[in-house]
Amino acid sequence: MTIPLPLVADTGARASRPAGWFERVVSTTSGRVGAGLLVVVLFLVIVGPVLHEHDPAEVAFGRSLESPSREHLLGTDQYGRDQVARLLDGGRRSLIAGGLVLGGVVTISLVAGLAAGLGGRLLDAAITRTIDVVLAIPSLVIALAIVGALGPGFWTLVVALVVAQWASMARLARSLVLAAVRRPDVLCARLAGIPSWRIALTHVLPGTIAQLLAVATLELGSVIVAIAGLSFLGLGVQPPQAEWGSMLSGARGVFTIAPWLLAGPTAALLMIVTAANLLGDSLRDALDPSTSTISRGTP
Amino acid sequence: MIRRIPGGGGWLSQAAVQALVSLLGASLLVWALLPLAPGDPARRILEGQGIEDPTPAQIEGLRTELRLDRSIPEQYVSWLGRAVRGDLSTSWTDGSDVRTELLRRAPATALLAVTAIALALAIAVPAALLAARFPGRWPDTATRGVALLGSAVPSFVTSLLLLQVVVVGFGWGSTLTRGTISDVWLPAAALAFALAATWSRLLRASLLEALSQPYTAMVAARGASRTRVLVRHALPNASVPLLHAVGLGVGALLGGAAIVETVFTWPGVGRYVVSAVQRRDLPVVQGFAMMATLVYVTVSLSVDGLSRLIDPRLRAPA
Amino acid sequence: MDAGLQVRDLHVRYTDGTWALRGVDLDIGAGASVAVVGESGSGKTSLLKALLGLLPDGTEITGRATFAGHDLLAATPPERRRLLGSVVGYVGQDPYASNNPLLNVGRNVAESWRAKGLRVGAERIADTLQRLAIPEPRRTMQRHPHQWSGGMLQRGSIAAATALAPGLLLADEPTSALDAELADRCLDDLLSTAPTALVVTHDLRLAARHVDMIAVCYAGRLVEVGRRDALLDRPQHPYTRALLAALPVRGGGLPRPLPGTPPDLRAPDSGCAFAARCDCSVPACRSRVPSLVDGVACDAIAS
Repeated sequence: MTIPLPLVADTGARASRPAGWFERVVSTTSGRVGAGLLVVVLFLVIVGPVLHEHDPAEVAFGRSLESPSREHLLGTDQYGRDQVARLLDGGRRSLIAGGLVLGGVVTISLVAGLAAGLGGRLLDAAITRTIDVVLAIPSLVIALAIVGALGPGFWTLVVALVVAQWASMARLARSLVLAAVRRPDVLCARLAGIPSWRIALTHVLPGTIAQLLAVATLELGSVIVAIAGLSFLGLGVQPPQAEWGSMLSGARGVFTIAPWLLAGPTAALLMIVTAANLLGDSLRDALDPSTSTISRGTP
Repeated sequence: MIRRIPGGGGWLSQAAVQALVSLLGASLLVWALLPLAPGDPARRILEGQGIEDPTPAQIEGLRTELRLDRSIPEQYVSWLGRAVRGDLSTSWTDGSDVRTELLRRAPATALLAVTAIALALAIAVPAALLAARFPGRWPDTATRGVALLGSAVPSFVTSLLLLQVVVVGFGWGSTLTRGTISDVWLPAAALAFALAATWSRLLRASLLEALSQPYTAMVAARGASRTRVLVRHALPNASVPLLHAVGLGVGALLGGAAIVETVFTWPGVGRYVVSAVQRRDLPVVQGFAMMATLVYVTVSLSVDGLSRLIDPRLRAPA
Repeated sequence: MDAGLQVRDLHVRYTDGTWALRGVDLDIGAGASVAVVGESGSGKTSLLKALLGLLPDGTEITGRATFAGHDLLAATPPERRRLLGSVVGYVGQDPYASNNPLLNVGRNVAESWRAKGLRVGAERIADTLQRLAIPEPRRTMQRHPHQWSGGMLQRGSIAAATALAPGLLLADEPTSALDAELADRCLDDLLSTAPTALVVTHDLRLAARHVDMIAVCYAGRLVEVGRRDALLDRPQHPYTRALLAALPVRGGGLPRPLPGTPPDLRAPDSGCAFAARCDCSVPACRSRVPSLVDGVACDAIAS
């Protein structure tokens, strides 16, 4: 349960130069460690299954609940399945689901933000009001309700989390668009009579997308925890498919005799969320100069 | 003396209207799950009552009874009308009254949530004060390290680790809880850990922000001790952001309790809802969503009101 | 001169290596008022903070500073807390920023007593405010800082700073947040409540109307100290002359801003810090640090 701290909406001028804050994020220790952790996790999950010879779904009751060994580095579960293979396979599934969720969230937020910022007062009021209403429902409650309506499964999970998460991102998108609209180049384009859809595409969209994608990357941690949480409850990824949360859930009945089953998924979740948190901290500093140590000099 | 709040009444009625609008909007979204869900509710209900293969006549009869034959707006208005009067309809699987079932389990969840929040505050506030009193020194580094770890561990992992270490390792407590005060500590600690981590990080940052302001330097220049500056001046100023974080934390608990309740078999609303979601028992899920939203909206309203009580600038007419 | 403020060879170095003060000597006789003027970054605020003991942890401070027999720098934290408020008072720059926004003005003023563990009643607070001619103090002190006007609130801050009748009042740009007319009045109030006062300001002209002495600060050193009239009529140090030339004068044409930028305060000390911007520097200026002799620290004009 990670509570996302709101990112301060930035001025459009800085949003149009993502290179500046990217360099500043990487220049801090926490930014470097976070980025390094994220790269390690991504590398393992993408390349790992190719190198690892075990099949994540291969059941062998003769080898059930084996403790870690050379053959099975993280041991085996009740069905004798290799835990390393399941960890890597589950990680891939989590990351694909997380990517889909964030892609959906960013797309919806962009459309809502652009429509609210450029579509006139009435549309803005309607969208803002809708965002407020959705934010009035706790996001995990939305996700639970949607799974309850559609029935558990991979795609339900993705849809549920998109619906649960889009509102706060759309609020950020709207404020970014509104800031961009007040930029001098956009004002000039408006005065020159360029249609607003065109201004949206050429002047507003690029900077807003860059900023939203940056924030979305940092939400990857909390989205993967939500995926794991719902799968843990049996409401997300369904067995026999592997997923970190459902692996932990499966280990629940036997962890007194096979505690090693907790190690892999716990470490994996910890790594990815810590990576996102560290990146988030340094990005907040990079976007908000008032909290950075660079500008807080001596009098 | 009664504390007069300039413009207080006006704010309250305005905020209450806004909260009602939010609730109304939320009710539309929650109700919309019913027509959006695949499958015929009437058939699902009859199947839930044990009728294996309901006849078309039975289904039609139930559809009329549930007003599912009416137009979509009519269905919503009648659903809303019943919901406002407290009628959250009956479970599709066992026909029990949803409101009764939810209210029966609410005290256990409330006990869990309140204990978790109190525990989290009891950890976060001293930790943040200590960190802000010695910024950059070991108490600061230590609390920040633990906080970074704490905000990274999902609550179900914390729960499992607590069960493994405390219950299995030390033999304290039990893996099965009964929803009483003596049992509440472990599940509450599992929930409180992540909250305390997030809150202590936030409060530390707000305290340091307040300590960089001229008014704290002014109080120090009048001979106040560091502790007094920190506790009497910086802490109240830093409490407004914390209050909002606690409000958000209640929202997170309303969903997050489901996970911890399931791990600890805590007899609360969350575990009830998880099993309802698994069975796609929509009235239970909808009733829970409305109840959670009502609680969350009320908490948000109280947080805003409390912030206005603490910070007089928020009471100033804009 | 035991009753006044004496500062001897005060050095302040921040943790980032910046030398904010590089040897300040200053004497203020009991009952006198001094304005410390200079550009921002010249070290005037650091001087105040050093005297108040409010510099950040880890800052290197050497030298001596005494007031009325109290050692301000060598004091232990509890000793310092006893001195602050009752022996040394402090008035800040922005009255809104230097009052706790959550407390009403009365409770902000009450902090002068409560910070030191003393009890205080509403009557006493109202009297304190009354002294600074704040109308209806019993009613207005119930209101919060943001509901007060800037000039009134700054007078409230002065009332709070002088509540325990400290012998020395330190003020950091006390009028920069106020408009000209209020500034004059405020400074008047401030100096009339304080026996001995050290006012940091960048507004030379305002200072000239109120204080007894002026000290000119440049790059962490006092370059010229003198009686107000003498210093304004016959400025000796090239920097003082440049400061005065930069002031607009009626019928005097356009003011001449000072060319160049202040020196890097992290660099080691070598020669007169002003030499690079000075139009009358001689080669010796760049090799020897001039010391304050007869109120001026300049080797070029002395030779």
